Amino acid sequence: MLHSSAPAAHGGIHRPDKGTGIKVTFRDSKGADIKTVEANEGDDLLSVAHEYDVDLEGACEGSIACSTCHVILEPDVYDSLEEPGDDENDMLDLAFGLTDTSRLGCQIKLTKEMDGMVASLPSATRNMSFKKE
Amino acid sequence: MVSPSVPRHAIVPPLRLAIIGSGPSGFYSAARVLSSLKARQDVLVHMYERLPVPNGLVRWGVAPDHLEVKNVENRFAEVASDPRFSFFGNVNVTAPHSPTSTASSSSTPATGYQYPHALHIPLSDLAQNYTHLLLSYGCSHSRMLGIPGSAPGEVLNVHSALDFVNWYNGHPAAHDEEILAKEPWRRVALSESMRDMSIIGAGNVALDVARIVLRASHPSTPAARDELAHSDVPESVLSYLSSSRISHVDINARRGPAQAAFTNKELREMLALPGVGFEGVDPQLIAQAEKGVAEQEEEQRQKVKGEELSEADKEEAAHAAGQARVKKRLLSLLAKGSKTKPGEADKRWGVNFFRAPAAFLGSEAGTPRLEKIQWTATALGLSGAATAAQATGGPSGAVWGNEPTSAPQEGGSHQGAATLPSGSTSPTRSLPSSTFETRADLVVSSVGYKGAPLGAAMESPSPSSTTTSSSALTIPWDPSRGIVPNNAGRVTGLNGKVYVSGWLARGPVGVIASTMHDAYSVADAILEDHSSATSAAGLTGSLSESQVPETIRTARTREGKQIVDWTAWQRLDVEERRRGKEAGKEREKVLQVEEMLRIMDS
Ligand SMILES: Cc1cc2nc3c(=O)[nH]c(=O)nc-3n(C[C@H](O)[C@H](O)[C@H](O)COP(=O)(O)OP(=O)(O)OC[C@H]3O[C@@H](n4cnc5c(N)ncnc54)[C@H](O)[C@@H]3O)c2cc1C
Ligand code: FES
Repeated sequence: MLHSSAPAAHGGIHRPDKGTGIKVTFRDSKGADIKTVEANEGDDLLSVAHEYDVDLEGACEGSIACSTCHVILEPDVYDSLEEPGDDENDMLDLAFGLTDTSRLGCQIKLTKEMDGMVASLPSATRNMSFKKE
Repeated sequence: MVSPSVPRHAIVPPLRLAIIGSGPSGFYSAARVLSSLKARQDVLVHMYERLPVPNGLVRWGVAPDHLEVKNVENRFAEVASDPRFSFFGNVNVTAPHSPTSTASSSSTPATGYQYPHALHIPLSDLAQNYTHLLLSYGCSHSRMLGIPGSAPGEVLNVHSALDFVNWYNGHPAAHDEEILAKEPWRRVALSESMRDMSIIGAGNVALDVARIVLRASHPSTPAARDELAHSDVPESVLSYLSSSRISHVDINARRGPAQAAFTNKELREMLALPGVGFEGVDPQLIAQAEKGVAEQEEEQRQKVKGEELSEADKEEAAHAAGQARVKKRLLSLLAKGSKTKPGEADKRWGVNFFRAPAAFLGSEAGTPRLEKIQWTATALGLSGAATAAQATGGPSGAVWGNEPTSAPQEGGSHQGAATLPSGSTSPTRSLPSSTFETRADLVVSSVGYKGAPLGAAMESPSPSSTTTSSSALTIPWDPSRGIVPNNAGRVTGLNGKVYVSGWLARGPVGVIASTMHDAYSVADAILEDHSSATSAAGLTGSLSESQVPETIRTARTREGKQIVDWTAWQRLDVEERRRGKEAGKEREKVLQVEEMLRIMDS
């Protein structure tokens, strides 16, 4: 469980040649597209976001220990994935703006079938109004 | 994420932001400001920290066996690598100098660790060098139980979670020999005869404390101990814990299983500890709680389906229904129990619901040593329908800071009750006839962290050069909520200049993720206010030419105080990792500030 001390600047993945990869669109919490990018099968959404400078935080660097990489998927993509495990569910409990199709970006590995998918960033505002206790 | 546009370079004045406190909320605010104004060279962010090392509770709160959580330090280092960012460590910021100052802490002499090596600088000394000020110095005091025997030093072997966590995380405040000599009761002292530890409060901090002790105490298997041994727990702490023989830890909650404030992740981890058995919870209690939670979920679902509510209220109801599902999983974990069955375990732990401590009792002449805890049995009050939503108040509400289930009793006559935020009185009532006692060798009271106003400014040893009118910088304080009062991060009465984020703004609850979201929104408020500014004014009066305050620049020659920058921290970081590697672990923390400063200076 040792972690590296060097800050990871990018996602540590390779960009596919234009037109050959799996297309992913990142969308902000207000519904506006941030950018559409291409990635390879097996890449996880957090690394893809980092590779393309999309503002998705990954505080624990993919260790299922922080929930800052929370993304919201479209229902059909969500349903096509294997159910989240206990670890992921436990972290999703603490995610902001949780929805029925929420997942941890660091745990979503791209497959060819997901080509054209949209990953939305959660709305940070809704929980801010919560009382302390 | 929308970043405010920055078209009017010529018109918008420079942004000079001072951040007080280097925890997650300070760093994430800095990150947002710097990344939103990427193109601007006239933006600078100066971060002040009273310790020579950054990262706040990521270093001093997060448990050593949760190294993955500490990966976020890499992110903070990335923020610090922006050339427009500077770190000023070993600088303790105090309340502004002001003739009319009524700094609340000035009347009582401070006890405990007072950061003797740091430069103490009043906030007013920063006033002319910055256009904006962000307070993100967190909540670093303990909430008090206010029952007989709970006052600091009153009964030996009674500790606050803050002190205990500081100790196992190597905070200098818990390892300063001078303080320990003066206030010996602060020292965690585990004798070989101690077996029973009791923790007051049932939040994640309580489980952290229990887990660290149970992993290490004798007898322990490599499986239980290894993760700790390879972590950044100080070697002296680990070997001390390993020689102790605590074999039983009780967690104690004022309310029922549906109101427990710990999260599923932490509970699951406790239940999987090798060689440690969970004693289980009365099935009837669980069934009762399950019923309450199911009703709650159903009720909220109906609201979501119904016609009469607004979209916002429906969203709220959907959220509450989601929280009820979270609680259901927690209850089923409690019902299922631990991997190691208590009968086969060397060590055991349990959770006792519906009890509130009434007194810590000790024997011996002089300072009594803890022997027993007196309890009052509690029940949910009329307003205390066992709802999941009430228990947590949302995902950011559960969790790491204050633990509502163990707050002192409503209307309690103990002095400590007055120190509680008003919103935290828990809806329980005591059953006065039913008091009872249990044996305990060690108590850790984990009823929450607490914020405080900046400490009183000390008499300036030499008149500081920038003392003009400073009273305009007086920071308000809300004693009932224990926060700097603010509207979405803008400090009340100081609009457009002074901001607050993190635990200091919202109270000591919430994980790093929620702290990050909060910090982002506060940074956005700063950016918004700045984008409409037309002239660069200092916090009070005009903005000085020099970027770094005079008091900081001359600290070493004037007062012999060493102010450390990010490079100095990196030197210590490398050394701590080197020592760690030698010992087969992640990091060996330096425990004394003098030694930190020596290494940083080399
Ligand atoms: C025991 C414990 C365990 C936790 N574990 C987890 C976990 O596993 N996962 C998780 O997500 N969250 C965890 N949390 C919560 C997390 O630590 C907080 O959400 C977060 O640290 C709050 O950030 P902050 O910046 O508001 O305050 P802090 O992190 O407290 O930072 C405040 C900083 O300000 C400095 N400071 C204080 N006063 C002054 C002054 N006068 N002048 C200069 N500097 C000053 C302090 O030294 C400190 O560095 C834990 C909390 C605790 C207490
Ligand atoms: S990066 Fe922390 S949970 Fe995904």
